Amino acid sequence: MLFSWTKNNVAVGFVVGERWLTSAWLIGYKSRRNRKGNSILADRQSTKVVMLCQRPIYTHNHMSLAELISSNLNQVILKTTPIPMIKKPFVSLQLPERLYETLIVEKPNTLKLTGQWAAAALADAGYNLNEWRWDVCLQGSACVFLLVKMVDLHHYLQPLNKAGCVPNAVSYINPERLVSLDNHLAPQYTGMTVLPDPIAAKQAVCLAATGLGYIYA
Amino acid sequence: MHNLITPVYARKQAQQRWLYSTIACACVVLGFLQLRYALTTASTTAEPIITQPIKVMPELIAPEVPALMPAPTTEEPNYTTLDSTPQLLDKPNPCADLTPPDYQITAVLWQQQGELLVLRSPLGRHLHVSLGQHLEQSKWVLQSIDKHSITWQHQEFLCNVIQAIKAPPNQPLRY
Repeated sequence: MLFSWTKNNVAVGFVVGERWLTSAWLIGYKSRRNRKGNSILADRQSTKVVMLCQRPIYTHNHMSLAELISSNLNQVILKTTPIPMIKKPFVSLQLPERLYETLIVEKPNTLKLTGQWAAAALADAGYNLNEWRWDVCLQGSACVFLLVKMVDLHHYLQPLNKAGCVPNAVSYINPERLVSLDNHLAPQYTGMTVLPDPIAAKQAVCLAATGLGYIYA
Repeated sequence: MHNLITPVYARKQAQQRWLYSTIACACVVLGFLQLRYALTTASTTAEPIITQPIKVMPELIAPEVPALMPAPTTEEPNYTTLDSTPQLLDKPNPCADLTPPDYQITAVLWQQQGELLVLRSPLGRHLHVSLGQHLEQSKWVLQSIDKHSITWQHQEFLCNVIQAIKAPPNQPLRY
């Protein structure tokens, strides 16, 4: 167990819901025999969900969200293994879904990700770039923008920064796309426990999997 | 994957910064190595080169010696080295001991048929010597007459001795 935690990549996905905080711990095994191409079978064999839990937020609990995430990280990192983990896990965070806005535009012909075309497209759509934090992904012939208000982002990141557990990424897993995307990961967490929010559990697993390099968008 | 903490443009900029930083560091390292190489090559002192003794021909060392050397033959020249012929270099030059004839120059006659030198022997007898003429009872030949000096040539050693016309006869100029 210790050897596998120090050798392989570990990713954590935190999904912040309205009432539940879902955390999923994944290990990506560096087995070249199982990582042939990007087949679903190879992904299933090289990724393992080692922990999946949900805790209530603000109900039956006096701890804040940042304290919950920090305690979860420190508990696993410091107490699960005999020695602290040498390789820190990749932490991904998903804020409540109501804070996200998604914008889909057609991909321009001459596309440069570092150019000003993305900012110009957002400005044309009526977004003030000083108030929104955004990122863009290419999906086929469309460009998908994900936007969060700067105030909301800092509202959640400020306590995490004070607690010393700033996530590596703040992303979003669209629950509508989970039906077709998470089939290969579903057998790993369906049989563990009956969770009060199964969609958030799936989102957390996919969020952690994106931290290991898999694309779920 | 969307990442609102480090969006796409920030990731691209970070990659470009990493690339440029790597190139700059490589240039700095190469420049340092070049400078170090230049300093090390400039500070080295020249080592003395040890070679074999130089072979020279004795004729080139002492041009006046060939009269003493054997006649040149068709055989291979006998090369000698500097360190193997110390006796040749230490041998006294016979021309150094020669003195011009003990005759006092009384007059030089500049004539149309040739210059004529008038000498006076120690016994007080006057005699006339022209160019190329032997001095009596000696091996000296009058070689040339200049404005301020005359040149004697010894028939045995082929040495030229210059005698100043106004200088005392016992202090000749040599070359």
